[in-house]
Amino acid sequence: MKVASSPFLQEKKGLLKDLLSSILEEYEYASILGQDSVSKNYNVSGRGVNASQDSVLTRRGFVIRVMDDNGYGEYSFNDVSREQLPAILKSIREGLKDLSSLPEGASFMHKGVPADEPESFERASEYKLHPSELGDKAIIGKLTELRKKGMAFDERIIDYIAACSYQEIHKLFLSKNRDLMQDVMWTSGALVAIARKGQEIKQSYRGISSAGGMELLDGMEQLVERVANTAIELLDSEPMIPGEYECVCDPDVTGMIVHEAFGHGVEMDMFVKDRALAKSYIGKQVASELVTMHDGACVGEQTGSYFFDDEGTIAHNTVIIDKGILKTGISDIRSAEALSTPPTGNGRRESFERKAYTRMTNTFFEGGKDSVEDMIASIKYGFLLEEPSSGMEDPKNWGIQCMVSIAREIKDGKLTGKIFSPIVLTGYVPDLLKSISMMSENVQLAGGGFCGKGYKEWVKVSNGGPYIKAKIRLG
Amino acid sequence: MKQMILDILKALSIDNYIITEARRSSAELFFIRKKLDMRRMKDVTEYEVLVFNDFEQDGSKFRGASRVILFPGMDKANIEKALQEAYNAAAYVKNPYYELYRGEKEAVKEIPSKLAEHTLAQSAEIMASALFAADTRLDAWLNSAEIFVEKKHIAITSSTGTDVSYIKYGCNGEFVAQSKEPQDVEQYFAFSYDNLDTEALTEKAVKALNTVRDRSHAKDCPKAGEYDVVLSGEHVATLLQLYAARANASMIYPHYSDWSIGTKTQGDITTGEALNLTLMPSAPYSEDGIPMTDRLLIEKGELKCIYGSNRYCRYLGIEPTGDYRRGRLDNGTVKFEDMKKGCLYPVSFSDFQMDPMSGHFGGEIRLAYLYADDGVKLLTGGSINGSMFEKQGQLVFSLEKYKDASYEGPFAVRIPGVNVSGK
Repeated sequence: MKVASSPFLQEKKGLLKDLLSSILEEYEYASILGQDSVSKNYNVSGRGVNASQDSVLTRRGFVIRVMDDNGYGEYSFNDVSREQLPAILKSIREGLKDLSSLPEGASFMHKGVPADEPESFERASEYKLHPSELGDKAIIGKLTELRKKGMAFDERIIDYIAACSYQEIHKLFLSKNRDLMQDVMWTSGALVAIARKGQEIKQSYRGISSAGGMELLDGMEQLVERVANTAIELLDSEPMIPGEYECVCDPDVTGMIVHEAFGHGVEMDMFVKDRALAKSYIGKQVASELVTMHDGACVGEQTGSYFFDDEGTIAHNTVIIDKGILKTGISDIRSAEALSTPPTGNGRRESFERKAYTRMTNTFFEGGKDSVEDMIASIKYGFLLEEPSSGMEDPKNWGIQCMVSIAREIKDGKLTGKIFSPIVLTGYVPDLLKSISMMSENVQLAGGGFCGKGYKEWVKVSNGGPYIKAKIRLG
Repeated sequence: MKQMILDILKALSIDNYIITEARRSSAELFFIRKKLDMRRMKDVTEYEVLVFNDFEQDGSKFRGASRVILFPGMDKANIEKALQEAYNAAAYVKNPYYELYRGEKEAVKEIPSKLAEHTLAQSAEIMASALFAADTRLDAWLNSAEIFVEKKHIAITSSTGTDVSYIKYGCNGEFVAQSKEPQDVEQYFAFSYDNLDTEALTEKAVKALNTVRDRSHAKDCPKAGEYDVVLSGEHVATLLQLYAARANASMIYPHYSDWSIGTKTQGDITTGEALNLTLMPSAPYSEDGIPMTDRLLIEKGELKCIYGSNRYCRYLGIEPTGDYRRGRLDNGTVKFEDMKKGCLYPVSFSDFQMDPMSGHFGGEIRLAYLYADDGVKLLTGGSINGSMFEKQGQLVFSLEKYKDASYEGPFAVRIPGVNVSGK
């Protein structure tokens, strides 16, 4: 089934076109993005049951972008009617004038008018089971059942959280030459087992996600015991002895390295600001020749999938690294303009209330030819890394900071059963990527969490890849 | 629109609810170096309605809740559908029954702020001027900056008599400092003020430029091993999140935390200071509409208060306090200059984190000063990784103070024997 369009955006479209025509009488460039998104979270845990709309992701409103003599300006609002059009026009006109008083020594950044090639379409993503069709009762019932199984696994588990959420996103983009509409659904599920030993609490987490509907719940059952078992294993974990080790990263850890260590560094708004080392490495080797890296909203059916971005650019599949050579970055429309490169469909906003930045979508390494068993067998002493918990980008210096919950010890090619936790991955990104010596065949993407730009501007993305073998500094 | 929501709730026989109306306006400036790249304005309103559905099963009472977000311009039929769906969903939310907070009608509280004396656009320009006033050096400069000035008008109305509202101004943002010689490096900094705090922003930017210049000269990674570590400013606040989290009713109710009034929160205090921590409100009312005041959380290391939202406090049978995200630490016995001797002092991390569940703290070092016998060394790279449960009885705080939007108290803390990864 295809996601149905938003009656609200359909109803307002004529009005918005009239508004756009009025704005274009005064400004050289203008566009309007309309958003109507509903997101609902479900979770069952020792804290209780929740079935509520997400107060951050449920959003309805508009953002107008214009270009005047002082460059770009935007106005976000969520109350529109024909009677209010003059007031909206006045807000743009007077508001941008008020915001044109500059600090001493500052000036305006002038850019060219963005390309506005004619395009018109309405597209929708597919799902098998709509959340409203399954219903709140069945969703909560399924999560309750999963939690019950998890709690029964071991008496040391003090809580087991079963959760899922969906986001149904409807967007409309209008400019002088563009009339685009899209209707997309993303769904994610998570299982968290929490076990306790004295004051210290250990937790294990697994998430799954898709660009689809509640059919995703079927895949959660098989993860229940694995998550519970890992939480119990973590109770006997030891602190890591700092050093550089040969490591095998599971696809989730590979995904975090792809995303945090390299992905943020090729966001080309960072090139414009002189904040990314990658800018001077285009055409150069930055990774092992085994590595080919993609980002694209039209590759993979995941939580970074869409048909056009928040600036009206059609979704791409960008090859960022080809056999170890850095080919290009990803860009929003304004950084592409500044760098004289084509935009890649990566201009994304947290919502209509926020500015658009260059953001990742579905980001991953292609698969290789090795088996996971051979990769582990090839290590004399090292670790299998699992369950990434967080990471922070450092595009300027290509430093790595990724937190991982589990390092399983490998000795003489075999897992010993010993676990170390928590782990901080550090080092220099090209050193790590060039040290990749083996990659498994299958690629897995996951998009359970959110990606921030610094510490804000949260958007859904997915990332992943195959199992990889690399030399990594652990602490 | 609020009256329409109230009328529909009545027509649908939804007897228990909390409506939060939020009106938010902002003026936003985005700079690349000293060039203004983007100007933004925002005027949005939304209504968050939490509806409750009471039911009985097997002789037990339950109170389910479900939240729905409503927007201006929605017609009666759409609001009715949204509220009815939320009420139906709440019928499957099988949470034990609890009493809702009973409030009163109060006059609007406008939190005093000099930001209210100007338009949002004027305040944004004044804060931008304060930021760039520091940008006068040749060896370090502001690479980029984002400034957000916001006005929020929050009104909370409940079925149990609460009818309160407040107006709050704020200015927050971030900037990146850069230095190119001898190494091209940058540092990220965030700021958040409730006032037109121009002097604090200028001072923060001056310190930021000093830090990034030092990082530009830092080449060596620390040697791996154990160090006495000094943390300062926002990193002290991050470390203290352990105590705020473990004393929250939502952590105690599911047994993530076993703290109760009188718990010795630091275990055995050996060489360190006993904590004196007070919670401070960041708004006049909580999300449940509970009036918020300062609350003593920990005195001489002993837990004095459990706090949290109405629901979890009711479950624990304690007075509902509302959730707090701001604290004051009344500690400090050592001069900062004395505290640093022999220590590794990381001033900047990629991302310093404290996990209140495991008690672990850590982060990758972007710049650290090592105060050795033979002088001060600038270091970069490697990471620190420790457990607060092992170290919390040995914390020593500085006499010098620090203040930001979420913390006020000692500027620095010394933690002995922290594991440092490096070369």
